[in-house]
Amino acid sequence: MTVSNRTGRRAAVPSLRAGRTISGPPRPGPRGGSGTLRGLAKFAVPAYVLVGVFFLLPQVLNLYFAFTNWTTYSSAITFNGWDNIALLMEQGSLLHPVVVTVLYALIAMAFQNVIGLSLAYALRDSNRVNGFFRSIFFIPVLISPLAVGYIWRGLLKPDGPVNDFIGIVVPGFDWAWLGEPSTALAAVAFMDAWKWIGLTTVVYIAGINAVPGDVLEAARLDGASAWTSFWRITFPLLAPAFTFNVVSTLVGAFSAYDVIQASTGGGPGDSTRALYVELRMQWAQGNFGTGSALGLVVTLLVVVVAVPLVWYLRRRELRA
Amino acid sequence: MRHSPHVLPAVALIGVAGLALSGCSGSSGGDSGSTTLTVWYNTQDSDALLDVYSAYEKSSGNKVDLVPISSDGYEDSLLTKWAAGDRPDLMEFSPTSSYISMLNPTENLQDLSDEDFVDASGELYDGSGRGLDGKVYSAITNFPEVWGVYYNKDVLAANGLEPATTVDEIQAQCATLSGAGITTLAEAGGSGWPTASLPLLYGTSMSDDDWAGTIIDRSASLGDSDSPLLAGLDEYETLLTDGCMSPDISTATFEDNVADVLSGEAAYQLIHSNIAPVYVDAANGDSAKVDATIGFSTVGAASKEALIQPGILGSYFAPKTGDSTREAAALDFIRFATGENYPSYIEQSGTFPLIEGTDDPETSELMKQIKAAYDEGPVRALLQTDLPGAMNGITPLMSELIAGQTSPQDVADQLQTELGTAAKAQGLEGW
Repeated sequence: MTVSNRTGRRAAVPSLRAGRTISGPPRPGPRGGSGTLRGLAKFAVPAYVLVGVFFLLPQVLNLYFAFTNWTTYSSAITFNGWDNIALLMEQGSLLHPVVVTVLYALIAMAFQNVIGLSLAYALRDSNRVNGFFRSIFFIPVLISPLAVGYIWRGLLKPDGPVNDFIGIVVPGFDWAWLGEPSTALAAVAFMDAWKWIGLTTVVYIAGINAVPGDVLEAARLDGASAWTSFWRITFPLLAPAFTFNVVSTLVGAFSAYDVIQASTGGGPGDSTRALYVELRMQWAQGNFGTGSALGLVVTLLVVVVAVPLVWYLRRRELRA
Repeated sequence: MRHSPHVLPAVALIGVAGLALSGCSGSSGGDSGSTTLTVWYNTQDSDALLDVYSAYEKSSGNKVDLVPISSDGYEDSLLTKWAAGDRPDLMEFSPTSSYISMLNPTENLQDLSDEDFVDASGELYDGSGRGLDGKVYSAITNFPEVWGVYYNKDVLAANGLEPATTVDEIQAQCATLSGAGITTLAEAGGSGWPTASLPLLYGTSMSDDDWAGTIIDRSASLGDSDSPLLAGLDEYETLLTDGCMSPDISTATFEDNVADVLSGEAAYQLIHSNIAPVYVDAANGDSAKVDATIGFSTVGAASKEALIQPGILGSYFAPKTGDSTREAAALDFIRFATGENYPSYIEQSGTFPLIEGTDDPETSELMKQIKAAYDEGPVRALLQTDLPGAMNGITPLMSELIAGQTSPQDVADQLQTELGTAAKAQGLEGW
C-alpha cells in the first residue's frame, strides 16, 4: 500500500514488523528466476526516468546554481564560490530561517503525532461511527495547502470566528494569532499539523490494530491498567508506525512553504520566515544564485536530520 | 496486433516525454487559422481591462489564454515564474526602468520603440516604459498611479479637519482623530506592499531630483543620516508608535483598509489611485456613495506634490518566445489595445487617456478628483523607479519594522546592501 505524504510523493507505509512494509514481500514471477526479474525491470524504466528528470536532475542543477552568480539581470552564469552563502549571512537571511524552519518542524511534528496518536487510539475500533470520524479527520489531507492557509487566515483574524468563540468564555477576547510574533509560528505549524493529522492517524490506527490481541489480553489478566498496557505494550509495538510518522512529519515540515505563504507570507516581521519562504524572497529579488543556495541548505538540513533520526528510530524498532 | 517486447517501454518513454514537454510548452495555436496568446495578468485588473482581451479575440480571430497572478506580490510571483524559464506571449508588469532591467530586456523582450503609440503619448515615455538601454519595452495604456490619500469626508468634517495635503498634516491630525476613536491612517501589513508607500512617498518628496543619481554613483547611501528615505522610515515609525495607524496593522489587507475608510473607522489610506475601483466594489458598486463619502488628495512630506508611478495594470510587455507567429500576434494585440480599441477602453474604464486623439471619459467625481490632483502637480516620479533592484526587498523589511524587530536605520542599511547586490549584478560602473 502506498499513500501520499506531505510532499505529494508516494511513500510506502511501514508494516507493524520492523523492516517490512504492508505491501509485503515481492511476489515471485510465474516462472521465477533472474530472467523474469530482468523482464520486469523494464517496467521500472518510466519510474527511473521520472525520478531522474523531476528529482535527481533538479537536485544536481540546484547544487551547481548554488555556487553561481545567477541573477535575473544577466544571462551569464559563472561560478562564484561561497559568495552566495556570505551574502546570505551578511543579510541575516540564513541562520534565522534555519532556526524558524527547525522550530516550525518540531512544533508541527509534535502537534501532528500527539493528536494523531490520540485520535487513532480513540478511533481504533472499526465501526460505522469511527469510520465516519476517520473520514472527517482525513478530509483536510485532501485540501490544497494554500487553501488551508487561506482558510485559517480567515478563521484566526482578530475579528474572526476563533476569537469570537473564545469570546464566549472570555468576553472581549481579541488576539491577532497570525499578527503577533509570539504566536504566529505556533499557529502556522498547527495549520500544517491540522492538514496532515488525518494521514498520521490512519498510520497509527493500522499500527494499533496490528498489536497482537493475545498479548494485550495476557497483560489485562496480569492486572495491567489501560495506561500500562498502552505504554508498555502498544506504544513499543507501534515503533514502525512511529518511525514513519515522526520522520515524514519532521522532514516534510522542513519544506514548509505553501501554508506559511498563504497565511502570513513569512510575517509578522520575520517570525515565520522559513527557508523556502526566504528562498522565494530571494528569487523575487532576482537573486537566483542565493535562492539556490537556500535550496541546498534545505537539502542538507534534511540529510543531516533524517539520516541519524531514521537510524535511531530503526534501532528502536528492533529493540521493540 | 502483437508488439515487440521493446515497444512498451519505448511507448512509455515517449508518453512520459510527451507529458513533460506538454507541461513546458506554450500554446502555439488553437483552432486552425488562429493563434493562441498566453497572457499573464494581474487579478486586480478591472472588467474594462479584461474586456480588451475579449474585444481582441473578436477583432482578430486569435485566442487569448488568461493566466491570473495575484495582485498581492504580483512582481514577485511573476519574476519567480520568469526565473523558471516560463514565458507568456504578453504580460502586465511594472513599466519602470528598475523593474524592466530585472527582465534582462535586451534578450527577453520585444522592442516597441518604433510603435505608433510611443510618439502619440506625449512625454510619457521620456521617463517610463524604457529599459536602461533607452529602448521602449512597455505599452502603457492606463493613467499612471497617482500616490496620495483617500479620505473619509464625513469623518474629517465631523472632527473639524481639512483634508491633509502633507504627511506632516496627517501626523498633526492624529491626536484629534485618535481622541475621537478613529484610526488616522489605515495600514495593510497583511498585504505587505502598501506599507512601503509612505516611506517611499515621503522620501521622494524630501529628495532632490538627482538624488537617485547620487545613490547610483555611490556619492550617497540610502542609510546616510540625511537620506530622504531614512527620513521617510523615521516618519513611518513615528506614526506607528504614536498609535496613528490601524490597530490590526499586522494582519489587515488593503481591502480591509478600504472598508475601514469607507465605513469611517479610519480617516485616511495612503496608497495609489488605481485602487479607486476597490472603493466602488466595497460600496457594492454604488459610485454615488463613494463620491459622497470618499475624497482623494495628493500629499508630499511637507508640501503638496503629485507623486506618480506608471502602474502595472494595463502596461503590456511582449516577451520573446521564439515563436515568430505568436510574437507577431502579441504585437498585433498591443497595436489593437493602443490604437483601434483605445477609445472604447477609455470610455468603458473611465480612466483618462494617455494616447492623443481620445477624449476624456465621463467618469466619477472621485476619478475627476484624482485627475485634478495630478494636473495640479507638481508631478514627480516615485524615487525607487530609477534605483537598481527597485528596492523590492522593502516589503519584508517594513514587516520587520512594524513588528518592532528592526529600526529605520537598519532597514535603510539593508536596502543599501540589496541595492548594491542588484547594481553589481547589472554591471553598473563603480559597483
